[in-house]
Amino acid sequence: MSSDSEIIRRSRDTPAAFAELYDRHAAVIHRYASRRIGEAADDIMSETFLVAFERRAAFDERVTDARPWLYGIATTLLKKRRRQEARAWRGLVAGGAAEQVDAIRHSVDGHDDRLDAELGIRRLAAAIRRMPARDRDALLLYAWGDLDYEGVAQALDVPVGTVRSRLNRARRQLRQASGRIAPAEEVEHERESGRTDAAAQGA
Amino acid sequence: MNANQDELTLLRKVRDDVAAPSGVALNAGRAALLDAAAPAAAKPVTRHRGLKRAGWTTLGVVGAASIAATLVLTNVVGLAGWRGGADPAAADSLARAAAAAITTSDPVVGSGQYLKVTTTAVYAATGDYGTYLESQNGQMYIPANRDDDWVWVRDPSTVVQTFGPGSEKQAAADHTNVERTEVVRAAKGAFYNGKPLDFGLGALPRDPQQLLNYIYRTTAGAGVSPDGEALVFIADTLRTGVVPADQRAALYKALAGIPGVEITDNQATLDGRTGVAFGRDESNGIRQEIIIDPTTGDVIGERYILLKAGVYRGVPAGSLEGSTSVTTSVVDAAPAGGTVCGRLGDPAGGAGSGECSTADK
Repeated sequence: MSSDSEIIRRSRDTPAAFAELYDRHAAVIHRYASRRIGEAADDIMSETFLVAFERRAAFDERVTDARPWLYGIATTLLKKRRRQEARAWRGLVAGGAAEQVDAIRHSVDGHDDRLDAELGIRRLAAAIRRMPARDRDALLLYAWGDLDYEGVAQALDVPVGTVRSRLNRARRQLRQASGRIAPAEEVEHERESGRTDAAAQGA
Repeated sequence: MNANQDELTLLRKVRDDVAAPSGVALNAGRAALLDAAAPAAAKPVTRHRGLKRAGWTTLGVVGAASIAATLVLTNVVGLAGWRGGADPAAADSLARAAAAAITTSDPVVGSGQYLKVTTTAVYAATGDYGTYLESQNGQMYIPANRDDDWVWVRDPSTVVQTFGPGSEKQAAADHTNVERTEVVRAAKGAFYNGKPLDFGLGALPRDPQQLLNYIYRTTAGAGVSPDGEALVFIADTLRTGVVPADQRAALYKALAGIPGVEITDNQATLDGRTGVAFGRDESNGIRQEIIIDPTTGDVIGERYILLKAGVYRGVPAGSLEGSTSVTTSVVDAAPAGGTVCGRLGDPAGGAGSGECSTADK
């Protein structure tokens, strides 16, 4: 299977080859967008690849996996839909949390009772809604985009150190919102515990 | 459970149940991308709202792109000819239609007169609740001197057919306001402040095989399959209603050179006229047909048939997904009135930008 960067290189002479990148990643971009803004995810998915296609000449070919790049474009496009996203988070704070608990109940540990989980999601949503946009972007790319720190850095075009501090800040806020306090070293530990490396994708 | 993992673990589960993109959304996104990726020459005709065909498959497109890159060289050497052609009965019928077309003399549009192209179309419209068919009728008045004002009268869209309760709900939701007829008027056919309408007929070779090679070359990478997209190109061109008799004949012969094309209905009736339907089954479950009167060589129109259920939710196999019938005549006058942007307000963003002050709904 060719790597993403090979497809992008090929698409410079054969533009239609870019469709291969779409087939490969459209669903994950849709999923990410759908979790953030719901129905309008269809538009974000489509627009992301149109923008990517237009900017394909700027893609750094040393990077084999295009997902961080695509997630970054989607994240930028989502900025124009702040209100929609805010509404989605508000919905989760208000009534949507109960539905979410129904959906995830089976995977919630036995000792977490239903109300606890519901309250947890509600607080989580409230905290995410109030977060500065750049911290929220980093957090959601990490948690929902399944990117590692390096991937988030590529997506947002900021140094890895910046990603680290944004994520630490975001997670501190989440913990505060839920009334839990975690020791600093455990935060570091989480960072080291090998998440899937996005770069392995193109192999 | 590690206490500090709770928030992230929980967050990863939130909205973990979102639905995957629908087939329609995936297809639409892919079509938009390929549209952007297609060379300008591969888009001979501007398709209007609702016309974008859904259904592009991976194999077809990637295959077409690589075939185009390796094989399609010129109009003389290309995909046409050596891979066989249409089913013999279809090829025979198309040859007769071509012969009849050549003997037809095209209507002469005198100075000051207009070629009136009347289009009666039905398209599938899809929303959250379901899919239904709506009309999209119009009359385009094309001046003898194409630099003059063109006039396009667009009738209000009405619901033509529904498929069960969801479909009815969608139709009702989309058609709450009674629409008015819209009159659009623009020099050179630059409707909605867009680019002048150039049907690009001058670029088409008259030799059928060279024409078919040209079509394969300019449509490479688009559509469900290279052969399917060649048929789409021919349908797009014929639908304009402005193709002269000799070029119509060449297009029929080119159609006869496309593998997989067969007679799908000997008695296809569209808008009161009956002809022979030539179609090609595509892997996306939609068959596009071109309907021709073989005795006169006239184009009657085209239609889309769903070959399987589930292409649209609730719409059974065998259903019509859309149709267009085209008739032409010469008239002495075009309706008065109308503006460049019609219902969309005033031109914005400079001539040819395609922008009007009110965005399309």
